[in-house]
Amino acid sequence: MVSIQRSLINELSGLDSALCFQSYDDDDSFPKDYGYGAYNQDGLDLEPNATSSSETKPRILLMGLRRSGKSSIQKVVFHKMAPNETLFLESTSKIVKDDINNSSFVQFQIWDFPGQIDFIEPTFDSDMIFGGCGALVFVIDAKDDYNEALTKFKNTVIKAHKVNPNIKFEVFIHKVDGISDDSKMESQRDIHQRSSDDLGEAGLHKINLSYHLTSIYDHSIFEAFSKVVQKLIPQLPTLENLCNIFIQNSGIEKAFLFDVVSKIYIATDSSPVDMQTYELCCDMIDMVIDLSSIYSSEETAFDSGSASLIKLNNNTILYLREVNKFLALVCILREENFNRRGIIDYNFICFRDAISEVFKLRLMSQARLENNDQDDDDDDDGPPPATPSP
Amino acid sequence: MPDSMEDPATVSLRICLEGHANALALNKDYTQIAVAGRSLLKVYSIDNYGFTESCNMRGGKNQNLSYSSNDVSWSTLDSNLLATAATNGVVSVWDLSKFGRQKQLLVYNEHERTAHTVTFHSSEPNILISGSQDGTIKCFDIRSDKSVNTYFSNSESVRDVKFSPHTQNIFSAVSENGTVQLWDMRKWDKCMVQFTAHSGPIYTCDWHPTRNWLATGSRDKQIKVWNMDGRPGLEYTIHTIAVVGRVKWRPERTYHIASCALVVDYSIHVWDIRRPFIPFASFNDHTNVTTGIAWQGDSHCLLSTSKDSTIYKHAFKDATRPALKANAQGASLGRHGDISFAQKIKEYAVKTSGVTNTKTTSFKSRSKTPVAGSMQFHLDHSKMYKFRLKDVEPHSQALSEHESFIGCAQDLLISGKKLADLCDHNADVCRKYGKHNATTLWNFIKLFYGTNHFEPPFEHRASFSTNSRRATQVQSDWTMPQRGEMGQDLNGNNQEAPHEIGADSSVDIDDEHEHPPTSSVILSETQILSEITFDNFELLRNGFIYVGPTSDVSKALAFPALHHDVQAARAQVDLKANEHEKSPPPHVPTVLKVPHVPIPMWEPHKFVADALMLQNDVGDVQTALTVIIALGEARKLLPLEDALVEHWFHAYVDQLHRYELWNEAGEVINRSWLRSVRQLNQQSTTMHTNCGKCSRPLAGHVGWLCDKCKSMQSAKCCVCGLIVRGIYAWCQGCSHGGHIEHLQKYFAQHSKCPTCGHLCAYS
Repeated sequence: MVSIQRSLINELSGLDSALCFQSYDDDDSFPKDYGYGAYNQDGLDLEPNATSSSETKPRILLMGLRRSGKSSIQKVVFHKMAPNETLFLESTSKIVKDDINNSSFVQFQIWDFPGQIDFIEPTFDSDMIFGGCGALVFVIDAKDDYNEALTKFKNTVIKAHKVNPNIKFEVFIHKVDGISDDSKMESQRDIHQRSSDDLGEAGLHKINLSYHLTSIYDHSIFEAFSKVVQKLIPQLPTLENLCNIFIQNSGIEKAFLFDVVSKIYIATDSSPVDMQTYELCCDMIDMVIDLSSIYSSEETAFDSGSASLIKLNNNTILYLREVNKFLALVCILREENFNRRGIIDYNFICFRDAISEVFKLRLMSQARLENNDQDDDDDDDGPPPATPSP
Repeated sequence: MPDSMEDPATVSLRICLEGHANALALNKDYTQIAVAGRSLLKVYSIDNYGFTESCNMRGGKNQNLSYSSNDVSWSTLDSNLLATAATNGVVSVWDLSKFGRQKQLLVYNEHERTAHTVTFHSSEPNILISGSQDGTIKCFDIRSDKSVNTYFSNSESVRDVKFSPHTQNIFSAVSENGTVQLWDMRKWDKCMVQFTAHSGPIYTCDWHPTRNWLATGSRDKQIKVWNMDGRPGLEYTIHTIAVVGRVKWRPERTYHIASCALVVDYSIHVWDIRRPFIPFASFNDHTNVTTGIAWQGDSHCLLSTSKDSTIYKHAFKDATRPALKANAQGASLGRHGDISFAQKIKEYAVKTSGVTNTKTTSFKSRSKTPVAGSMQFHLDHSKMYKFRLKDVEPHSQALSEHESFIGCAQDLLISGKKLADLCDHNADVCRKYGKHNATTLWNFIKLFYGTNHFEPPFEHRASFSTNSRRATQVQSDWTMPQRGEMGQDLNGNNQEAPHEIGADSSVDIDDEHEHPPTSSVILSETQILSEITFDNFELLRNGFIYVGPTSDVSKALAFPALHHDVQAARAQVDLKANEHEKSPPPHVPTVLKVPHVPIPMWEPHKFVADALMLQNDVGDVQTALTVIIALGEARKLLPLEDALVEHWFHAYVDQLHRYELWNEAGEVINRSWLRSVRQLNQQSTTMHTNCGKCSRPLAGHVGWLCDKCKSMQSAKCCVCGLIVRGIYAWCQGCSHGGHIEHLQKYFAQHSKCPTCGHLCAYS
């Protein structure tokens, strides 16, 4: 145990937190009690022999027929490419690995597969591909004839499920900006029906398929990706609960915890997400980043002082605060509730502390996981952490 | 149902709550209402005059998160049992017969994420189910402290669960991925039916009380009604204006359903599902988003909670009826000049025939095809007419684009006549060259601007509520019947005497009595003001003129429904001209609005400007610019930027030049009022002249004096030898020339230059 503790301290010392040491010293049984059960269960850990930290990130696979829009999705969501520029993207000819570790919570890789590769061939290393994969996003072009895509999808799912039963399957019915509402519904129903029939024939009734209607020309692709990413975050219930508590005690209508770079929300409170609200919040982040990259004295556009307040003419207020280096909380609230700004700010600080606590635990469990791999002697799965309540 | 039977005419009542209310539930007798919210869980008993608090389960200051409720449900059999679903996933069961802390009978802490909904079984008193954000539905038996069954919906989040009233043990679950599932309670491994219902998250569902129908409401702003017999089939779709939060079927009415929105729209709408675009009734009392609705037993009372911390009990008779205010007529103009016109048949048959007549006057001949489509709403019939303009000339589609451009450029008149005549002429020209859009536009211009002499004060219409207005003039107007086609004459006259009214409006009324008019009296707004209290000023300042028998005027003003009427009418001010035949509200027979008077306030300027921009955008700068020029001074009314117009000028002149239509281009430039365009005529034509003797360019500044050979020879006519004053015709080939009339005569007989024998081509 001693050696584990020592290495933990080393890990954490890079993390700038003196508080962390204190609490750690106070509680000797810390690593045991705060094991992260959910982390192992959700299929997020990898092959036992994974050693380097880059391999421990869950992978999101982007698959689909060629010209279905996979690379465009990746460019728009994670590289801030303007949607109309994606027209000029070359078709992808080899697997493109993309590390998304801009946010500590969203640490994963996206593998953009070229559509023409037949990865079902025996020569293809499916264990390597699907083994450490957290979610498989299958992109279907809604404007095209999707018979071929469905066949390929079925084969992919069967193969991937065999290799890794924990994989989460997401179907993006893509490019719906070009079709009418009715045919949107119709193709969604059709795809849903046929794919579940196909999988039923193959004996895979239990597989959880999620369908999303997406387009890169509005925010639907961001929302769909948010849903995908959220499923890969084991702490999501905790984060969601924190948001709930925060908004209820501060008189806020809706709060999003955003990953600033990609504008996907990694958690929100449990009230329904309204698309316009989400778009407003996205636009606010864009605006804040753009403005502060012009005027900030440091080179970073987003830092601990980042905050913004926008009053809309319908008596609502958009309020943005920095949570940590990568995350921002964007709230929408009515103007009269903003009278109690002190309370909101205080609650926010509690919220931020709680988030950083969750964040710390995650790092620890990650470090512990690595040690486990080396020492191979510690395999306890403790309960999830108690929710810190403001 | 003790209350509503004896007195269904209750008014809406309102009490204040602390904090937001998220949901409400009624007990089985409809005598008590439970309201749940963030820091609130209370039971009120309902009586005819309001609500009285009978139980508060959130006494004290304990901030236990398990009490912060998303949903509340009342047992359908036991009036003492309540269940709540909390944001942290806890489902609690409350027993109202107990005291203090013991009221909270059971706490199930099983959902990992927020519990969204909870509901009791309709016949088994001990069974309840809950749906949660974690995608599971759990079934609890209050005799045990653990869940009995868990149903995995395979979706991100279950938003609503409801037991079917028709089949025992069947419940529906709707989820955020847009699917509806039917579960049999006894089979927890797999759902019976699953289908995709909406393209967005579904937030609510409700079973029809008598038919096997399920209504679902979604983020895609639609309410859909599904027939659940056998394979689920879509029966009706209602399009609302906002995200649907809750839906509730109205008891005793097969086709009525109430809905409230999650954002934007604060009112509760009751829809007739057979009329999916206009709500049958609306309650507009809430000042924030409505969160919960329930019918109080019968169909006449609707209870609702809202984020504005109130409970309302709405009496159905107090609802507004948007459907009645809707405009039952519609007209549209086709690009070939056809008109289609739809109307409600029942009440206005006589009136509409008149309208069609006035419209027909401007057309030469038409084929009338009545009752092309007869749409049937559940009570109303509507009829559609289509008037087709008979083709006067054969279609000239053989003309290519540049041919029609040249033709139009040569034939279009831009000045020299009255605007109406210009418009007529130009419309004919456009029709001749196959430009039907432009024809329609010219016709419109004639209608809007052709009938009147435009003076700058015309702009006073822009601010309609400037209230110094023209009582005396109105009076003089109705003595001259049928004045002004679009009411514009009326307006033009009125501006002359704007200041006389304040003092003598009462005198006017007396005057009216002296004239026993033929059928009607027109009152101006100032007169109305003099009769009613000052409080109503706001309602009336939109300026409506009322028509009716004189003796009835004061009575009509005292009529309580007037306010209603005025409010309805206010929304109409900004309607387009097409829609101006508004139906008068049938229950106010003595107060009628004159359609002609408010409508002239509609200003076509913006509309015309848009039309011109559109013409330009589709590549027809010719029409756009010609219209502007033809309008003359009236063009100043159009909200068009000078820079844009200047650009049009340049574009059009450039086009004309390319087709070598120099005269037309010159005409256009001459008509321009922009300096930069007018200058084109002075700067663009440069003639390079040569000395007739030495053939050097005449670069000097002294006219025809050659710098090189110091000769004035070039200034002289080569026929008569005199110095030319006035027009000097000149051959570019040999640099000799002279008086144009001399050269004309000369070249009529000769073909060579009189000086050098050059073969000049005189044309």
